[in-house]
Amino acid sequence: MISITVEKTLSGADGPFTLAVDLEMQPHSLLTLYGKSGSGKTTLLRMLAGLTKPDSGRIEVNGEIWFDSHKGVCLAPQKRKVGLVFQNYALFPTMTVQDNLLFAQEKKDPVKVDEMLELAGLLALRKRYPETLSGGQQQRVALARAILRRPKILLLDEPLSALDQKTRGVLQDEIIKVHQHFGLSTMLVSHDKQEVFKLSDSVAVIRHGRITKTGTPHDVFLDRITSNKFSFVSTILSIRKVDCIYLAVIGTGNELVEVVLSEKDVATMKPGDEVLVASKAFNPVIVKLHRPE
Amino acid sequence: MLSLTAEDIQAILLSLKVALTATLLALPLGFATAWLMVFRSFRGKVLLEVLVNLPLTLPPVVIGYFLLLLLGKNGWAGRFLDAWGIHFIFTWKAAVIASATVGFPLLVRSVRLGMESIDRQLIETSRSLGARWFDTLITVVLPLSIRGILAGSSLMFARSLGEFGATIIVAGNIPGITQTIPLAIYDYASSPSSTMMALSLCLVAVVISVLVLFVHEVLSRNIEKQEAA
Repeated sequence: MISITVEKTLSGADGPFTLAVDLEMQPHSLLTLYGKSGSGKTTLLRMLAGLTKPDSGRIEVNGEIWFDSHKGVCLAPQKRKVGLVFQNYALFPTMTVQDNLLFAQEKKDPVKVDEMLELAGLLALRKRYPETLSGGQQQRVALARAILRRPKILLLDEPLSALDQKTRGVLQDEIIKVHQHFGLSTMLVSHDKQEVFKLSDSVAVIRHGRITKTGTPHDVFLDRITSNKFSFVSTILSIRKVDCIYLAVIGTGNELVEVVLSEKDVATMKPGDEVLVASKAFNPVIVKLHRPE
Repeated sequence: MLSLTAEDIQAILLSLKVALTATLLALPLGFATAWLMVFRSFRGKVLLEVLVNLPLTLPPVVIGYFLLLLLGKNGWAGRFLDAWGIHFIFTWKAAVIASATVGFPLLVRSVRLGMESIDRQLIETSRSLGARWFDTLITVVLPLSIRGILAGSSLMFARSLGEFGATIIVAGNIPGITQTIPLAIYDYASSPSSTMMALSLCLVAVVISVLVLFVHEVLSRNIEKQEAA
């Protein structure tokens, strides 16, 4: 069990706010911290890694105390067994792929490194330098390096947001694969709903430093409303009137969908609003989720 | 006609020896100081920055005079060293100390610029992968600072070759012992009949400076090529 109870005052765009989180995570599960930029999710991840010190609180990972403000315990980052993967990969540019992985081992074992490279489909690239690899390949190396340390918790800070849609899809599958293969406890930071939905066992929504909702992705994003034979969360891109009806263009990933809105809908919705598009008895139903701030 | 005497050649060799020794001696300390300034927060950091940069703004003669007070027979450090039979004043070693002191801020500034350009996430990743601060310093910070180290070393070497004010105070101007190129040129310049001798040494100084800059450029390009490969 991983339990985190921390507080820290952060300075946001609208002035200082307190990040106050009380969170528990089941071992071998994938928990996603979901929220907008500046809500405190990356700071929480950094606190777990030991890179940012909370003002107060306690962090316990599988019975080991990593931080306890009352007892004055604060383990240094190198003493916490975490695997950390950043959005920009953070591969050491002066080292080859193989050396990047060897760096993660206390006792250097090139055989294990090669096994990991093979598992990640990177064996042919082991003598290459990070700069010569594509974004997807670099992120695979970063992931392999983080796992090689046998982390008690794998921390992924928006790992796929710099990649194109296709590579993202492939790497999402790989994250699920390695998470299950190594029985990892993984904490992901993301603001991509589709990604969160695909990857997570549970989701914690953070807004202004507070956890506002927790549960399965389905509970958090699609609670109630419809029977959900078919549904997706999306954003209204435009609304126009055609004769006596209103048509809204809604973006879904790379695709655009046009749906009919009633006059009542138009009164409450505008372009930029996040909506749930669902089908009920073969009729599309559009439900507004919340207004963007 | 341009020509070099045996003493001129000694001055050239001594200049190179002093500049090289000063640079090599200052390098580890300069690297450590730059690291402290970039990666550590501590009380008195501003004071350290002022102290490190002070030789840039002080006249070299003032630095030389302070060094004389410090290392002279009755100086605070000089007295202690004298007890061990170590004498610096009016030896080539004093010229090294003078050059190292005057060139130190240039070295630190360049290394520091190199370190500041390192992505902090690389340092954080290194630590989260289990590396202690010293391992991170050697395996991550040092290789990524190499351009700054190279630039700083070249600057410091070139500055040491031209060092005059502090050197003449602590090392004197003894031909064959402490006379470097600038000091020899100063001697020639005071005698109207030695114009060609002075010009010859000036030409040597220009050639050495061009060579230093050339080597610096070639090494920088090699590093760039290696990084791009």
